[in-house]
Amino acid sequence: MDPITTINAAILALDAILNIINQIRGQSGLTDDQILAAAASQATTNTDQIKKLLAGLPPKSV
Amino acid sequence: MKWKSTVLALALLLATGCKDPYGVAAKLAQDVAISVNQADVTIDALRVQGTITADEERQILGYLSTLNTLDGQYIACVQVAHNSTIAGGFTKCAQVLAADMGDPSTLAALHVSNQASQAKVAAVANGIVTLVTVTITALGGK
Repeated sequence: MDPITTINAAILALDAILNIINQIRGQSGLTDDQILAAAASQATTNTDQIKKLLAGLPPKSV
Repeated sequence: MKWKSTVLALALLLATGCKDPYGVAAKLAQDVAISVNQADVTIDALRVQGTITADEERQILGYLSTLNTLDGQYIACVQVAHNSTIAGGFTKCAQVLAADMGDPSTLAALHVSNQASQAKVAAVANGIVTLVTVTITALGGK
């Protein structure tokens, strides 16, 4: 393997590791407080969405 | 796919040690919230396709609503743990979430008659349970 190919492979490996670290941290650039706030916001959105889906269902069968 | 990458990321975290338990705990809250969102859409699509009934969707949405409520309680717990000096707070929050999620009455809502749809529903539920379990391990008692 020539040096350029080796460096490219190393960069790709490093990039893969950084991607995993970013996944652990949630979204890149967000603080832990922001991640938790985003989770709370998503949970509120979920509550509204579930209510809408339930309201859109046909009546219960008997 | 998201589940695989998240579990892989947490497995790596487990191997390297947990230096940011607040971040790991917060990420679990976000992953559960996103999963509930995706599951809502998926379950509704299954009903529209005719593979599950409206009553079955109603039951599963009830479970997802419960799970969403539990996630909200977990978020509050994590905030308290973050502001506390008591050791093991984040792990205790995740353990409570896991215990409540595993309540038989909660999981009873997950049965649907269509086998293929049942497999999808079970995959979502098992994925979330696995994520919580792996996170508890990754937190290492912190």
